[in-house]
Amino acid sequence: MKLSNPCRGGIDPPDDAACEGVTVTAGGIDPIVVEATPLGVRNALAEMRRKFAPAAAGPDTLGMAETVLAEVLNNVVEHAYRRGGDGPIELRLERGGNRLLVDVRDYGAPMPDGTMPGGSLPVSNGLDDDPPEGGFGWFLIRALARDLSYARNNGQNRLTFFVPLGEA
Amino acid sequence: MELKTEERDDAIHVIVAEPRIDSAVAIRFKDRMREVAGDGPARVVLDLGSVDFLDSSGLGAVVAVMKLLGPDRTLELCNLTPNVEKVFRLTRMDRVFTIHPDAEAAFADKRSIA
Repeated sequence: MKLSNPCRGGIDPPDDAACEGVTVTAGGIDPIVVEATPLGVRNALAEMRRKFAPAAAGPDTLGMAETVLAEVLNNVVEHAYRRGGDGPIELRLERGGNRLLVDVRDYGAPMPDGTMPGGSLPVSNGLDDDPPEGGFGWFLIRALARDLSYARNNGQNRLTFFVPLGEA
Repeated sequence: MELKTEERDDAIHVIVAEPRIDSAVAIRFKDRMREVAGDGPARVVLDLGSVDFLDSSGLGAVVAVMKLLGPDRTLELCNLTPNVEKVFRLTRMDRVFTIHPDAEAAFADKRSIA
């Protein structure tokens, strides 16, 4: 699935930055914009649930989407903006069949080396009784998100992916 | 961060009366756990039945609580909701913690061993 029209919403890319080739396309919708703070992240997740909650009561199908989204947004807060809290996060969400399409943009620092971290489980120093306390974020993102793509253009980070919707 | 505690023989049952352990509260959770369970019985049974959402910060905080109890005390978990259970399973932290289906099982286990 590709965008047939130019990107819109939020800060527009320059005219020559076509949106072709973007594999996940929740780009053409009005963004949810939140502050890059832990409470901003909470607000974004609550908004995601409000928008995509099933009409009828039943098993929670949004749990893993919430997990991935939380990790991605926490990374923006903690790394791209380094807890400065002075930048926006734009979140574009769209449901496509049994998938939640996600497009996250921020204007903080780029990913280190311009690439996304890998998804290996954090390791302790080899002792069974010393499990790691951190490093699970990218593991969870890599485990649950599909078609992950990262681009840095004109001071903007843009991460796109989709999450299959289903019971935990 | 509201925690309810109940002492039971050689264990303390700590119920997290919050819907989320996320990056907004992970540090507070760890600090509160230190206050209520920093000293006390050898077994700490953390009841996550009200917690619908736990992110990697929350997971790290639970691991940190286990470490602050030290080698002679254990942190066990019970009542995991499906989403929280999945985060433990995906990250293989379900192999690090003893996880009981509910509080009854957590305390029944102990009696059967004794």
